[in-house]
Amino acid sequence: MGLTDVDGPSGPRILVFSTNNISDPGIDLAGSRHLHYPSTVFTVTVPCSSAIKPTWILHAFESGFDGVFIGADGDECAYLPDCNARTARIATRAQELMSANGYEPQRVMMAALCSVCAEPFVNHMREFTEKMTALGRVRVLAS
Amino acid sequence: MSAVIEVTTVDPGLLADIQRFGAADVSACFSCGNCSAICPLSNNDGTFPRRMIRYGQVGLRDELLGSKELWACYHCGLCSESCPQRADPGEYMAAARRYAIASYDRTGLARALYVHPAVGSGVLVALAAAFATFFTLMSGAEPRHSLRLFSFLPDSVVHWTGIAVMIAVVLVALAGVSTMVHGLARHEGVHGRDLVVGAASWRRAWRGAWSAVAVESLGQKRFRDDCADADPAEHWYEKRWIVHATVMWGFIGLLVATMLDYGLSLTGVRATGTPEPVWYPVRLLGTVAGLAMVAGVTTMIVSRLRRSNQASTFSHQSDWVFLTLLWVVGVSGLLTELALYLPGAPSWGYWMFVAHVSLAMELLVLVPFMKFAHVIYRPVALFFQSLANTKA
Amino acid sequence: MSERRIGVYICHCGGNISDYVDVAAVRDAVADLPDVVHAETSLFACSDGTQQDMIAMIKEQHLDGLVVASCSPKLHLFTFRGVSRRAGLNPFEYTQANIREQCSWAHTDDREGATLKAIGLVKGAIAKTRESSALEPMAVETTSASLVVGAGIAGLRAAIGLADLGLRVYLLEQSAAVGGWVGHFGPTFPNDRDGRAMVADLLEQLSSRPTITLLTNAELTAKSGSFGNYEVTITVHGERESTVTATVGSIVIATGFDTYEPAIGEYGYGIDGVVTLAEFKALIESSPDGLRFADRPVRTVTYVYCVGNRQPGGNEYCSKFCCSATVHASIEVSAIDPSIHQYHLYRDIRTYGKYELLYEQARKRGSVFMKFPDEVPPSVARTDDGRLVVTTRDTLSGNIDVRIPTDLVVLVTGMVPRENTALTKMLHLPVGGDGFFNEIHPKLRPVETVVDGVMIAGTCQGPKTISESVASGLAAVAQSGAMLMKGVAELDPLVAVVAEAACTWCGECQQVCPYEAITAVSVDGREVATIDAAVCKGCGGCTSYCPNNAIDLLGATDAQMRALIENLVEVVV
Repeated sequence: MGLTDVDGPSGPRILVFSTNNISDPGIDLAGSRHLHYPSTVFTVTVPCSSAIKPTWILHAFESGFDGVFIGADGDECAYLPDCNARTARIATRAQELMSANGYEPQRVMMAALCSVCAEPFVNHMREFTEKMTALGRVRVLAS
Repeated sequence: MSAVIEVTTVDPGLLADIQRFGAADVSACFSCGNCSAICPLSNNDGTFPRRMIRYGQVGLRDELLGSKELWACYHCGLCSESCPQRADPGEYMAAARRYAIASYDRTGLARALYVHPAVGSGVLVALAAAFATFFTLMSGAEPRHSLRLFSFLPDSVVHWTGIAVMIAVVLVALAGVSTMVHGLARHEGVHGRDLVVGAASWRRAWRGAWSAVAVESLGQKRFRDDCADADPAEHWYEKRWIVHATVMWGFIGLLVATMLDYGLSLTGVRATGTPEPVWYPVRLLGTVAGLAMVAGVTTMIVSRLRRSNQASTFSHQSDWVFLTLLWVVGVSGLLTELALYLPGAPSWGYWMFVAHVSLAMELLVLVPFMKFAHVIYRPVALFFQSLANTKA
Repeated sequence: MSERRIGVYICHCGGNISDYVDVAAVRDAVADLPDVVHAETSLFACSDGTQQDMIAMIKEQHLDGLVVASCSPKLHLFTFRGVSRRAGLNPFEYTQANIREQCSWAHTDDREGATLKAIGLVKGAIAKTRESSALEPMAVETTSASLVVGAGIAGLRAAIGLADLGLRVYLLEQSAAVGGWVGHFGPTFPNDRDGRAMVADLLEQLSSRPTITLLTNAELTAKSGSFGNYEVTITVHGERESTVTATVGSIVIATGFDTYEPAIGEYGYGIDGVVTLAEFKALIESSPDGLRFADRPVRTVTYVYCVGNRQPGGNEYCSKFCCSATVHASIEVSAIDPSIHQYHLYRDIRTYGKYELLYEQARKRGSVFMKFPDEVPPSVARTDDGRLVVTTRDTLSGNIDVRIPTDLVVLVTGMVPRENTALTKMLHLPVGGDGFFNEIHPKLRPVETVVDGVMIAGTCQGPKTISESVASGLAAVAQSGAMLMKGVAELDPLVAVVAEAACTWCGECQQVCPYEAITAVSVDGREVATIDAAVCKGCGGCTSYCPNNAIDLLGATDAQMRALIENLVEVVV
């Protein structure tokens, strides 16, 4: 059993980078309130959105994801006052890597997600999924 | 709806002043709007009666006195029952109407009657005494063999006094109405030319007057249809609109009977004071109307004593004055009539007649200065209400 | 990584998970994966019975990795780390997969999709566990002393609380007098307790505690060392400047707030008769019999709320004490003279909680509350005839513009963050966008900062009432006690580490670390970066800057994250 076009949902797969103290509680809250978003959205957690390595984002596309969403800590970050700028830099680096490897840069999206941003998260997921659907499935170059 | 554009200066003492006209303390009101939600008269903008209270709180005197809505209320009491702050909006509206009557009156008499119970009582007694003294002085010998009221008190004295009183009352009332109309028109943005220029305007004004006087005032349409009592009456004859209609039509019946009486003598159909059987149409009308009015007023008095509905929970002194006056006028009239038909022409009938005429004159004189004034002001407000519903 | 022995538990959570996810299918999908030696479903993984079974299984099967797929790690990460520890398994070999909040509950409409997603999440967790290694928390011996910066109401109360725990306390106050703002207040809401009396009472308690050293006219001028043992230098100003040095285990920052100073012309500020709330409170106190301003009797007072607060593009926060304080002041005014007319022009009244009763009381005493629209704020001016007049739009009477001739206008000014640049830089305190200090977690860790052992209390964190300030001061006491009373504290081992072989010391990481945790050391004659685990906060902010990918964040290493990501979904060919 596995996720393939044949036996599973065919929507675009979205990888969400979330953070332990800020966006995770928001995403958890969306679930607690039974707000629905596509089941092809997967969340992984890091302490701070500035801790994401651009290569991980590239690796996500190589691993079959069609879009990557970065839940940025923004002004709420307890660690780094310039967290937003750092996270933006990471997203830019990732886009450079993606372009170099033949992935459309618009497959990465970054937005601030707060610890109670349940509805904003769900809306982001629906909209991003629609955008990725329009863009089509990722062409996997490496495996 | 409000077309006020200029800046209004607050009157900080307004609420305290209104409170002198009634018990309602609306300072606890935080404008939640429960009253507007439940009010059968509140329309889509949902601000009545909440905004009336707001005007009082903030001190917007002209806005309050320029509000036609003040007079749309029949005091069903639903708002007072649903008020979470127990601010009793229904009683506030009643107090605000008393305040309005006192404010439209330029003589200051209404205010004195309302807010100074001692002065008010003094005026009432003095006025009644003055009329009684006047009529006693003008009276002649008491015919013994039968009760000849107009031989005792010449009909010309009664009629000319009545006419003088009527003229005075109409003048004072017109002054009050002019004050009121000025405020309402300014607040509503209504100009005279909107009502008289062009056939459509005439039709609109006519419809407004018809609705205000015939449908609403005489027909009590919304009182019957929408403003049912918050506490439904136990018996049909205790329903507030029925009781009110009984009193109103009773009074109108008496007025018409008196006019016809006068008219018949003026036209020479029948000499004043001619003995009549009780079934004589004009006499019959007067008797039935008098009985209806006394019955209605008695029901109102009992209801106020028993506090049987929201509207009668609180009674201002002015409520008692009005009801008492109506009642004694009605009862003294009926007793006078009784004396006419009793064998042996009891001489107390003459003095009952003097009392009746004096009290009736006093009632008439006081129309613009007391609760009775609603017969003048309510139709005017309802006219504006109707205009607002048929925007040109 | 060579062969691992991993146990996997998939929780039903009663039916919270199993109603929407085919948990048996999840188990079947992962049971035969390499390195998985045990996989089972469980009705309640967190129940005592299951925990006992897990411990037995870990021991019996010699498991070296554990995955529990259940609820959010926010609930039970520490539960299952504890299970691991009790079973002799290193807690950091445990991984939790969130298949409830982030799966079953979010996809109650899509059983098939939720099941596939749960399989992906568990596979990812297993892959991550495969790359995990044992980590040991760092044990640090701590000093039983605390430094409290700021002797306002929060700092005073915290100092007394810390002393009562048996800790040595240094209480430092920048100004000459203690008590802060509260020390200047008379009666305070909600029950008229006198501010000066409260401060005097605290001072008396302070003086009876010999373990508290109070230093006024003092400032913190240097800090070194790391968590548990900070060396602090306090400079005491005066005729002769002196310094005090001390070692403390924790630092409580209680530096308070400043009041908003309206600009000249802002709501008429600067016009005679326009005062701030603080000035008005002083006026009330000096007018016990009859309110007078500039020798004129005051018959009408008009309050304008939210001055300098809740301003888009400015101070966007609500200072939350001001509504209650103003309403309370108006009650005081009506006690002085009930015939004084009072108009409250507000945007929203936030006399929250029990303070609502004050609002009701004020209304019943005749205060008129008028809400103005955000876009049409009141204006204040003196007319040609010299009268002070406020013009405002009253929404509740149908947006009528009204003029209020008034004797006094009170601008209800809120709190602004105090300028604390030197302290902020020295302690690496996190400052939020609003300028107040930030806690780690607003709900669960409300007084701790990311700087271990440094706590924030009172209004330096954001607007608070007196009782909330004192409560946060006491929370800082409790947290200090929890850190220092054992004498030894454990530090989370999830910090950044440098792969020395790959490092070429470009210095980039050192520049981007705001905590000064990274320095250069010489290893085998070569300069490489090293990270002080006691100073590192574990944010990972440095990792992406390394041009050689030589820095890893433990708990989210390159290998762990890549393994996790590539196992969540299958590649579509």
